[in-house]
Order: sequence, then C-alpha cells, then structure tokens
Amino acid sequence: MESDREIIIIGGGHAGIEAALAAARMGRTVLLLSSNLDRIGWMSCNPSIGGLGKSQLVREVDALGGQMGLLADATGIQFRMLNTGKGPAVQAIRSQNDRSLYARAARAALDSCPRLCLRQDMAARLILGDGRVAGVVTESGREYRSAVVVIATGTFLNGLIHIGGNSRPSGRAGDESCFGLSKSLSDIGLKIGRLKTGTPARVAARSVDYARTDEQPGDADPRPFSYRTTVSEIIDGRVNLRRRVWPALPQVSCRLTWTNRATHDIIRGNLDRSPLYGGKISGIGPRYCPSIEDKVVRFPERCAHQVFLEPEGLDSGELYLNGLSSSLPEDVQEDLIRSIAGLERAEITRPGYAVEYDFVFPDQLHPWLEAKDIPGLYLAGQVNGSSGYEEAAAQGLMAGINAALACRGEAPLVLRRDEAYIGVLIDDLVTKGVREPYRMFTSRAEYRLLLRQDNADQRLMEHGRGLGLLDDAAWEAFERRRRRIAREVARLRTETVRPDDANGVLASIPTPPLAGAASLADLLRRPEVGYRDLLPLDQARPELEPEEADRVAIEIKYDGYVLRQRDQAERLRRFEALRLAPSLDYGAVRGIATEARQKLSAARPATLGQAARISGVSPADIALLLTHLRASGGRRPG
Amino acid sequence: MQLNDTIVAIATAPGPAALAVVRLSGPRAFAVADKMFDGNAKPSAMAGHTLQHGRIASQRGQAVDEVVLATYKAPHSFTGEDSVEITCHGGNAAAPAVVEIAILAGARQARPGEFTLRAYLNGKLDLAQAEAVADVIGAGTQAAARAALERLAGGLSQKIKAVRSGLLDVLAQLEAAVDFPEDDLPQPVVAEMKRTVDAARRHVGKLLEGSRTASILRDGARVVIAGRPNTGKSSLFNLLLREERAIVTELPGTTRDVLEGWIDVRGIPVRLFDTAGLRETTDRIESEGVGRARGKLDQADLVLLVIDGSKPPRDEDKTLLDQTRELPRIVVVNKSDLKPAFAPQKGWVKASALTGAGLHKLEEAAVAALTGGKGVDAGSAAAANSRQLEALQAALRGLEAAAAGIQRKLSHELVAEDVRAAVDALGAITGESIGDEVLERIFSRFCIGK
Repeated sequence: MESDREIIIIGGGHAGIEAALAAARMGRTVLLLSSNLDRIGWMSCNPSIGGLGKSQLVREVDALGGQMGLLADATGIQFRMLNTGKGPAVQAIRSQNDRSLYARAARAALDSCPRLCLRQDMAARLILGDGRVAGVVTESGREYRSAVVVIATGTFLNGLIHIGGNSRPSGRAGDESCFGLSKSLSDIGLKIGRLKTGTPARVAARSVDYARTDEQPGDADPRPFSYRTTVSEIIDGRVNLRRRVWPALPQVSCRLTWTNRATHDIIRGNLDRSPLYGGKISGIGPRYCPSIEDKVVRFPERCAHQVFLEPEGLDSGELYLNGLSSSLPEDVQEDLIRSIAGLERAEITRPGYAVEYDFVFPDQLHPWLEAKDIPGLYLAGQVNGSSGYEEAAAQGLMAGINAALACRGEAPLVLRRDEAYIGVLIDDLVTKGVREPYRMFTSRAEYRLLLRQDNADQRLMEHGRGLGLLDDAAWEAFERRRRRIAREVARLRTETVRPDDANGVLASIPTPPLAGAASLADLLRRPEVGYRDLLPLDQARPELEPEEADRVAIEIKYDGYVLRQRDQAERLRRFEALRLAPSLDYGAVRGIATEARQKLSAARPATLGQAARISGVSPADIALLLTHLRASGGRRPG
Repeated sequence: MQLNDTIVAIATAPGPAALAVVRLSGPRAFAVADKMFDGNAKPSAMAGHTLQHGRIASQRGQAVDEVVLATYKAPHSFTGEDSVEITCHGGNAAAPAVVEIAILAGARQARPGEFTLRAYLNGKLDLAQAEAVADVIGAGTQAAARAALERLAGGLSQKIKAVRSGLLDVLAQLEAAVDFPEDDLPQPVVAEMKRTVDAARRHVGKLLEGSRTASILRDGARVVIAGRPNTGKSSLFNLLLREERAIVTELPGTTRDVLEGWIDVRGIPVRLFDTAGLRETTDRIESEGVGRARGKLDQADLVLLVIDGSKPPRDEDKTLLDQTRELPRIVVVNKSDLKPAFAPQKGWVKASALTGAGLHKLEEAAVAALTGGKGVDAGSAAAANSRQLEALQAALRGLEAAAAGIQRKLSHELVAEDVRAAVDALGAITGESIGDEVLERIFSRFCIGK
C-alpha cells in the first residue's frame, strides 16, 4: 500500500498533464497513473491546437501558469491568426503541431517536474472511506491511498471503436479502453451517460498529388500562444537589432481539396453499412464536428465539402484528412477518399473511426470540479462531456489547482463568466449539463468583448502568480507590459493634433479630415484608422512590442463596448456574490414553481447567479429565492 | 407572500351586473367548498370540469344565494391549482357574502393579482399574458378590455416572437461567421441583415406607437377643459359627463377647484377635468384654482380650449391660444346657438354646451387626437405596461445601433452585440432567454465541421 502521495491523477492526456503539473508546482506530491506512458500528451484527433474560443482557453491556461501554450509553441509547424478581418475579441491563433514532438514535450515537462511521479498502470476502481475518496485500486491489484483523486480519463471509459460493422473495445485506436473505473464511478452513485466522437482516416503523404490541391500556408509573421514564449532576442540594444528565435521548428503548409458528387454518391450508396445509420451507435455525437456521412445526409444540397490535408508531423509521412471523419467500413473509406481531387491514388495508413465512451454528467460537480457527493474526487476533461484538447486542459488546470488548494485547506478558485472562458466553460458544464460533447465557441461567452485572447494576462496572471504557478520572469514581464500599455493609452488620450498638421496624413489613410483639434485616441477610434497609420502624426511615440501596440489600439477602439459589458458584468457579479448553502432546503422556499424547485434541489447551485442560469428556473423564481434568503438571513461573503 | 394556501376573491369586475363569480384556488379549495355548498354532491366528490346547482349557506345553515358551482382540478385550472368557481347573483350583496363565508371556512382573501401570479408561477401564462390578465381586470371600458384580451391570447407575445425569431436568424449568421471562419459558410449579406433589422425596427416602433394607445386604453386619457372664465367650460363638462356636476352660473370664476369625472368617449376611457377659468385674479382661492388648472394643462393628453363664439376674442383668449399651441388641443368654439361674433379658424370645433349641438363632432375630433388619427381599434392595440414599454425601447435602441453598425460595416461581433441586446430585450417581454437558440440555428442551417 502506498499513501505517500497527496494527489492521484488518473490519465495523462491534456487534462491530466495540466492537473498534475499545477498540483505539483503548488507544492503537493502527485502521482499520475497512465495506462500507457508512451502516449502521454497524445493528440488523439487532429494535430492542431487553438481556433475560435479554444485559442482564448489556451491563452488563459497560459496566463494561469499552465503548460499547453508552451507545448504548442514549441512543437508548432504552422501558425495562423484566424478572423484577422474582424475585431480582436474574435481573433484566434490556430497551430498545426508535430504530433510526436508535442507528446515528447509534454512528457519532458512532467519528467522534469519535482514532486510528480508517473506510473504505468490502469485504474480499476476508487476506494472510499468516511464518505470521501481514499484512493485508487489498479488493474494490477495495487492500492494507492490518497485523499484527493482527479479523474481525467478522456474517452477511455468503456471506449468502443466502430469501423463499419467492426466494433472493438478501445479508448483510441491502438490503446486499450478502461472498464472497471466506469462501473466503480456508477457504483458510488455518479450518473453516467454515453457520447460519441469520431476521427478521419490518415493517408501516406507520398501518395497524394499536391498539384491538384490548394496550398494553405501559415502566417508569415506568426504570434505565439504563450506569454512566456520568446519570439525574438535582442542582438544589439543600441540599434534595437533583433533576431527572431521563434518558431523554432520549420514551418509547413496544409493543403485544401474538396469532396464532390461522386464522393457523396459513394457515401449515400453505403449508408446501410454505417454503424451510425445502422443504429449500432447509441452515443450522441457533436453537431459541430459531424462525420462526412452526416454532412452528406443532413445537407444534401451541398455538392462539395472541404477537406484539409494536415501534416501529422515534420517527418511523419502521414496526412490527417480533416473534414472526412467517418466510421464507414474501410473499403468504403478508401473508395470515397479516392474520389477526391489529389487523393486518387491515396494509400490509407489508418482508417477513420467513431468512438463511443462513457462520461459523467457534469452537473454532479461543484464549479471547482469536485463531485458534489464525493469529497476529494475531482473530474476534468472529456470524461465531463467536453470535447477538445483545450477544453480538457482548461478543466485539468482548474481541477489540479483546486485539488492542491483543498490539500492546503484553502477555498477553491472559481473563475467567473466575465473573467475567463474557463469560467464560461466550467459554469456551462456544471450548470447546464451536456447533451452532446461540449465545445467552446466565442458565442457562448456573453462577455466576449472582455474575454479577448490579447488580455488574458491582464485578466488572470494575478491568479497565476498568487497560486505560485508563474515564475518571477513571467510576472515581471507582465508588469512591464501592463505599465507600458497603460502609459501609452493615457498618452494617446491627451496628445492632440491640429487639422493643418493632420489632414494631409488623414487623406492618405484615407479617412475624413479634421475640422478642429482632436486627440490621437479620437482618430484611432475610427474603424478605418490603425495605430501604425498615425505614426507620421506622432513624434513622441515610444518603441513598443508588436503585441503591446496591438493592445494599445484595442484598448482605445473597444473602449465603449468594453465599458458597456463591464457594466453588465458588474450587475451579474452581485448575484454571483450571493452564495447558496449546499444544504439549502428548496422545499421551504415559498412560491417557486415546481419545476424550478426540482431542478434547484437536484443541482444545488453554489451561487444565486448559477441558480439563475439553470434552465427551467425563471426570473420570478430567483426573485422569490432572493426574498427567502433575505428573510432567513442569507450569507453574503465578500 | 404565502403561495401555497387557499385563496378566495370575486373574480368578476365590480359594478352592476346580473352575475358575479367567486373563485377559490389552492390545495384546500374543495375542502372549503364542501363546508359552504349545499347540493346533491359534495364538490370534493365531483369530477373536474363539471357544474352543479345548489345553495351557499352560512355556517348557521342560512342560505345566502342560489348558485352554480364549477370544479377545476389541478393542473387544469386558470391558476394550475385545485379551483372552484361559484357563480352567484350580482350586485353588492351576494358575492361579498359568499367570499366572507369562504373565509370563515378557511380560505384567505386573495390579494390583487394573486390568481394571476399563481397562474404564472405554475407555468399557465407567460409574462405578457399574465400582465394582460391584470389589465383585463382593471380595464375601464370595453375597448380596453378587448385590447387586453388580445394580448391575453398571446397577441403581443406572438408579434414579438416573430420579430425576435427574425433577429435570431441574423444573429446566427453573424455568430457562424465569427466562430467558424475556416468553414465554408455563406457570409452574412449586408443587404439582407439590414432588411431584417429595419423590418424589426419598424415592427417594434409600431408596437411602441400602439402602446401609447394601449396605455390610454388602460389608464384613461387625461382630457382637460380650459379657457378664460365664463366661456361655458362647466356646461361642456356637464354635457360630456351627462350629469350636473359642475355648478354653472353667469358669474365668472365660479369653478375654483379642479373637478373630474370618468366618461367613455367611443370606447376610450377618458378622465375629464374641468378647471378654473384662466385669468389674472386677486381672489386668493380663485388664484389657487387657476394655478392648479395650469398644472393640469401640462399633464394633459388632450386640452379642450373653450372660447366663447358669441363674443369677439379677448386678449385672454389670444394668450391662451398661444400658450396651448404646443399642447395636443382642440379649440372648442362654444355657444354656437348664439350669433357668431367671428369666423372660427380651420380645425376649430363649433359646439353648444347648451343644446348639445356639435358634441358628435367634438367626440370624433377627440378620438382622432388621442389615437393619432387612427381611432380605436383594439385589434391593433399592442403593449403595454411600463416594464414592457421599457423593454421595447431598449430593443429599439439595440436595433438602431445595429442598423448603424451594419451601415458602417462594423465588425460582425460588434453588430452581434447590438442585435443580441435587442433580442434579449424582446425576450424579456415574452420570457425567453437566448440560451442555446443561436447555436441550434447555426447547426441546423449551416454545415459546420472543419
């Protein structure tokens, strides 16, 4: 029996990595159990990090001292800024990554982390004692004692892979699935559901005719995810001569091709052999990530769908066919792939498949990811019904932080919806629950203009620093950045120009001339005017990093919107400050509708704000609940 | 407020009527009815939705009234609770007595709107409908009741839902373009978005306009009779009121305080004010009356400025004509039964408070002025109480900002911000929140999945 570890993490995926690193960096002793130590940090689906909503999550994880941004930056082989034609709140970085280098970098981070031990063994069941978690028993029969356990098992609980008529237990092609644990979770009273996701085939790169596809290059001047990634080094400070040191890896292009009528005919002709349409799959799949057979059936009017050919790595020799997720039989997959321009002679190296897996309904968790009924048990990542590496990492980080805080006997950290996408993600999961795999979208964040990827440091680094997850260098760089931006924003607001001096420059932008004197900030607020456009009018401009210059422009251009959202968020915050005791008897609250009473009793929300977001709870119910709390002297901390 | 006991009240509007309905609602509605009803079967033994004839008796067994009793079992009742409705004779005696007996039998007097509140809390009505019920109960005249009833049928909700749905489509387009830049989606078309947003603006604008009529229908229009002394204002007041309320004398300055009365002008409830003649006076009491009269003018929905048609206009008349120029007003040229001393201007209404001549014309002009020339058609009356009005205004602000943003080609997420504000405001009226609606629309309409 081992009892020397304070926290056990089950699973070494994107959630498990963040949980283990955060907890160990916060001074706890941690054991990470993985059924296959060679697959730590493996990207099970596409070799890509980021995208809309997800990039924001990565930046937030980074600002809190998490690992994902650093890993993605170090192993990226293509970076693109998405939505450059739109405002900064909805711009996002997406990277292509070398799959095996990413996994190796993740493993290296774990290996070099003090207080963190890895062990290859599969968890089989939880040990409970005194109504809380007491440890884990593994398949090998070994017992590991610990008062805090984080489950981050991804799609491995009762994972079942489907390819055409073939089904076999597996959590990911090539890896065993995990049976005991799901039953153990259900035995201790957690409600378990079933979801489905899928992945496309991969083909040999040398068998693809690139000439028949379009090139999709990365950005010429890429930006990193992490605030801690050094992009350039100063060679000569006197003349500000810099040398770019990032990205460190060679950068490559993706390719784009399209399905066609022939592809769709092949799919339609073989639907009877699809496990999805043959009724073999019971789990619910995500609507935003449909299989190609789903796309063809649901959108019959479309005669072409995009297929992105993404390199698996610098020397992998395999391409990932993004957009062609399928669980059709292998021979059908081959036929349909070969009907596509550029892929006529493609050799499949691995077929696509669908995977069904158990998940734990996340509305059984507190907003700090601890099971409401089983103290000491935390769940994070895909096991909570989310999808995506970034969503997993964000939950893993918060579970690790809160597991460590619990060991210290400190209050949990819960991020608000107006503070971070992480707050939106976890609040949605634990409050609304899931019906399909949950993916982040910027439209899920009602305070999206506040939660930009550019200002994640401003929103969260103080938390990261307070928790001890950010080192001095990162903190000092942040403080310097914050000061420089604030100073420059203030300067632009006071520095004025006169029409005579300005109108010539303004005409060349082009933007309408000035009639009277105006501040540089006034000019910058015009949609068509950029920060760099004003340089000829601005003699006193300081030297800023490109990111800092962007931030300055954003602060000024978004000013009005940001104020408005801050105002709304402020009102919400008062609701969030009103805590609801887990023991609150909703039966005793007069007048609330029966449906609301049932939902509230089941959900036991942590705050009045969370209560208001439960579907079926009306504003009238909240008003009555508030009256009840006032009458019974509700606590109002903070 | 306690919401799980049994309440009782007269459910029909007060006033002269042949019949009145007393409603009992709550978990003990049948138990209470059992104690007070004398018939072939106990109410608790009756099936839901059935009627029985019988008598209501006091606790000493004294019959108070002969009634018809109707049963409604939860949740199939107005409130969603067990309910009993007792139809008794109208007038001031029977119904109050029945209520009193019910209270003695264990029910509690319902507070105003409490049945409706329970209906709302039990999911029987949406918010707009619940507010409409309160208005039916409070409605002064038939037209007001009709406008309220239309809303009860979900008229307002339906109109708003349609507008909101169109806006959700715009929002889905914008959000899809924001969240899925790499998917091959149709980009939001400026002209299309503009069309939808403009149409929504028009609809909401119309609802707001209609809401002025509706608020007049609900609260009554304030119509103030004004003029210099002795032009016959009080005679006109009495004529419109069809009773002798104001003292009419030859002496100028007889009316010193503001008199008021309710009248029905072709379906519009009108609160009519007779004011002291407006003149400079040294009489302290009269001067106080003049001050009040001027105060009333500022709050009026309509001013009836009365001048004496049998005498040439005096300076006082001219001053008043000038002072009320900016107010909604009708100039009434009174004493048309006498020889006219001048030719009235266009739009002035000739009338005789003595003979009643011109009354018809005056009413017509008043209705036109109060309803913006549209007359009272309860079918088009829309909103609203002040909460709904505020929400409609917020929606309009959001729509105007969105329209400007589309025009200026602002980035999609900023336009979405304003459209979302409008959708939220409209949802506050119908009781709907956005939740997953936008994503539902995106996934059902666009092929997502890079």
